[in-house]
Amino acid sequence: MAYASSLSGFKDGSLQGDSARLDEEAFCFIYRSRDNVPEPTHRGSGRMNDSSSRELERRIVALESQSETGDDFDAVSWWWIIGLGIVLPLGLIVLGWFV
Amino acid sequence: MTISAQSSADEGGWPLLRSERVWGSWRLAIALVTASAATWCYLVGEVVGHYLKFIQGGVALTAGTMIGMVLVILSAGPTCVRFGIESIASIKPQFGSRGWVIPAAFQYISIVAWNALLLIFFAKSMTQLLTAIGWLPANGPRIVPFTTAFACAIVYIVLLWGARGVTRISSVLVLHVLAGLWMLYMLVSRRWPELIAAQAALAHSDRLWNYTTGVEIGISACLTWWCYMGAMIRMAPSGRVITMPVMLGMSVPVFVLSLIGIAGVLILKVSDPSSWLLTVGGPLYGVIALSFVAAGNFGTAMVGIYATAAGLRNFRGLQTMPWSVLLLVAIMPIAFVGTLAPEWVFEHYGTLVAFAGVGFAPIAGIQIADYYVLRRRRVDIRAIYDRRAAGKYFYWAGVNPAAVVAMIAGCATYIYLLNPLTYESHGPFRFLTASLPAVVVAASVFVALTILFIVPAKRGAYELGSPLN
Repeated sequence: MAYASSLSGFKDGSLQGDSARLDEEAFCFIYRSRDNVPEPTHRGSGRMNDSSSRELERRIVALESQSETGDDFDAVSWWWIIGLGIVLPLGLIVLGWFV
Repeated sequence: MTISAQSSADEGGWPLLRSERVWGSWRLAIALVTASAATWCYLVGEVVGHYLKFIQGGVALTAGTMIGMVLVILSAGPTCVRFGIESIASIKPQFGSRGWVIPAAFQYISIVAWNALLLIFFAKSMTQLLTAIGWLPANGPRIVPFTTAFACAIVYIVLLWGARGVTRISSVLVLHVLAGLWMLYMLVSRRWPELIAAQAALAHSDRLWNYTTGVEIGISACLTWWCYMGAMIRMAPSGRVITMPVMLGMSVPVFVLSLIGIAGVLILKVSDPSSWLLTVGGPLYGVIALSFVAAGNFGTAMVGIYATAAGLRNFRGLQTMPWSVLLLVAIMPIAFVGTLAPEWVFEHYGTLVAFAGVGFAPIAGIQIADYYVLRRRRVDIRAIYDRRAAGKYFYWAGVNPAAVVAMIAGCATYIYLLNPLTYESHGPFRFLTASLPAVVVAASVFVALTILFIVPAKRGAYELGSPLN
């Protein structure tokens, strides 16, 4: 698939500065299909759009591969969330009522 | 990753990669404390002080802020920290690839209004300070509009650095929280008997109603942090790193500084320390504290404007706009309001607190229900940035009707239970607050409509993570 081959190029930097073919591929694999490539939004700044799209795509691919994704809450996080966000306020509400 | 690429991602509204997210717990905590500790805390305290005595008001407010923060961290937290995106981008799976403008409008109006207010406070504190040190005559010219414009200019220059600007300035401004603790100590130590005996001026005959209102104000105040949350926590790499800073860094300063507001309104009949610092603390301490109060508002406004600019990147027409111009778009309304109508804004801050609860409680409910119940934590980062009609989060015309209806139901629930302008209440408010039922109603309506209509219509990519399959 086009986006798969382009990905390796983006990762090792070999495709930097390539021509219109690169831009088209980069733009395509954001949208997964060449049939749905939209018109550039800002006609007067097409170069900037392509550059932005390539960088956005590089980031999305990295996040999809899980290699650059942040971690969700783990058990320790949940312990603190429940303790500070539920148990502590409930205790305070009961305590405050009798003050 | 080069610094320029990271800077571009920061300013461009792109998702940040884990390798770029270098803030640890302390760094994040300092930024969040800087963001949360400002004059609005005194205002929140003032509202509570109208209904509750000092200790009970402090306890109710503390409980409310912790509840508010747990709602915020569970709604925007997971998606933002996993994918390095800000709050508005994180709401697209629920509201749709165009429907996100609804929460974005709440965010923009809320941040603009609050930060205009904060910069006006900054200007007032500066005016008091200049008067105290003799640089301005006691009945001299009104310089608030000029000081507000000056503050906007400084914020603009600092934020040209993006998140790096926030990092640098927050390292210094966090010290003003210590000044807040000193102000609290001063009031408590010098006026304790008076403080304990002071009665709330607007206390209802129903003690439970007063108490619940105190909790509700704490929840509403902290729900505002939904706007700021994503822009800050996306700089950290994991849920574990953000949990303690968010739960404590955004709530502890609020209730600690709010105690100053409660104490101020109970014994001095005014919550804003810049109005009484010189009287209570004397010229030297007063000048020092006024400097920190001014600085605190400045730091909070800076983080707010940064979050606004980051959120504006989601608008198609603003995606490629240079960061310097985008900052102007974010800051100009604040400068406009702050310089042309400072007194009007100052007199209507109560409306802003109410607005936060009405708008952000349903948003939190919808986002929590969608992430944990319907999607089972499965979010498609590509779909968040896909605006095509075939996109997974396009729904109908880019809007998820289930989210819109749930939002309306949540807002209506809140307003029915507690009129945010008059504080007139109905039904079970005195037992449940208004924010919590609004969260539950919005979440329930959203889940029901999604199961009944959205999933069968195969919209929203729920077939991937839906418990129905």
